[in-house]
Amino acid sequence: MKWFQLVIRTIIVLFLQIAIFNHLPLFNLCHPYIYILLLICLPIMPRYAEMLVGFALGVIMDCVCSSAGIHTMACVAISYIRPIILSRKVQEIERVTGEVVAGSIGNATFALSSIWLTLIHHLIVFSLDTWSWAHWYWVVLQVIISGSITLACVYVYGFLLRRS
Amino acid sequence: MRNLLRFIQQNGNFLLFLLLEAVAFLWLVNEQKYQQSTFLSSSNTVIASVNSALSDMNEYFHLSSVNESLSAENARLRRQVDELQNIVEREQERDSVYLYAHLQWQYIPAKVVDMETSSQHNYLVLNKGERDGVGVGQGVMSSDGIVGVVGAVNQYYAQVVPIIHPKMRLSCRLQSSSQAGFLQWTGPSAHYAYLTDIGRHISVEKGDSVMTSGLTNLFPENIPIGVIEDVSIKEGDTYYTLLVRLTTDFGRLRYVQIVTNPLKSEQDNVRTAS
Repeated sequence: MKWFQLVIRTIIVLFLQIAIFNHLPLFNLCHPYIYILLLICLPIMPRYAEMLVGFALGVIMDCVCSSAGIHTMACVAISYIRPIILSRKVQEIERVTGEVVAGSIGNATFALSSIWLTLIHHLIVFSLDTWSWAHWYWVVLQVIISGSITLACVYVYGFLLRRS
Repeated sequence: MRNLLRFIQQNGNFLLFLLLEAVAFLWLVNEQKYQQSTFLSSSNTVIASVNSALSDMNEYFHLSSVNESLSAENARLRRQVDELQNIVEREQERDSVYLYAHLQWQYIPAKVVDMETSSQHNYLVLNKGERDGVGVGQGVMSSDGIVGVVGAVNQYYAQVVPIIHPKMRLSCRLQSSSQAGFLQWTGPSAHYAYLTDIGRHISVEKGDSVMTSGLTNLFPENIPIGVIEDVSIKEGDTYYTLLVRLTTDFGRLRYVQIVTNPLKSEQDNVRTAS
């Protein structure tokens, strides 16, 4: 049953990403990748499994966005880093059951780890996409604007929708 | 051997991380090789049909502005038809070869179903494919100006490399002096590109129009590309740095025309024969 819910949630989030968030018309600056909330809130699994989930999600996004490996690199990176960030804050992380949201790991930990993971993901995606240091200000601007919108969506999901 | 196994056992996660990142990185650096493969991109039939459905939905929100531009284009075209009809009638009496030469360009109307114009990997996906006579290397234009060149095609959809892509180099010329150069885009803005290869001995004015040169067999001559927005030249440089404001507004692009050239193979034959 839990797996079934996870799959449905993944489909809904990917649909929202592709249908709405990929086409936000805001001065070409705003590219929130809200689909990473699937990785940020992913239930605790063995690390290799988390990385494979990240890899699969990245490949799907790369096919949709024609971005050839950029999302895959960013997703694998945050899947690898997430257990490191969480295990520093939460004692006995293996005991956490279900999704990693505010309710299960604590408000402050969830808020902080989401910021780090969103920042790392967006930084990798936008700098690989720009592929030159000449436009670093553009990368920083995009990370800040798109990252804050992504973070807002992650918080809405992690704090409000999953309160129960 | 045992040490090696123990090393793999202890660092398995890190090694898997490196392996997956390496796979993704290879995909990224070999992007050009796979650009032709429609399977791994957004012109993939499954993804493109999803995007097509979404674009149908989206279209309702743009109806009024699209209508406006279509009616403007209609009016302009009707005026052109009238003018051309007059010319054809006059010429027909004089010269029957004239008509044949003007059969060179044909246009396939298409709709943009998916688009990315704010990164370095910009692309467009159109709802016409091999089935409709679209092929790799054909030009794409809109009512405002040049859009790009078809980069990949499958049966139902075509993916376009726009002029706002770093790998694109389009032959064009200045309207006032007829001097030919190349249009190049370095980003990040989708509204501006650079015109290169214009020597300093030529006088260039702000506001001069940039047109297609007709030197390639992709586009007819004199299709607008942009307007010179800024003229600068560094001390000791042989060539100008010319900033061009593009006439095509990629953000609002909905309908385009694919330019086909039935005489292209004839033209290529002559080139290889000589």
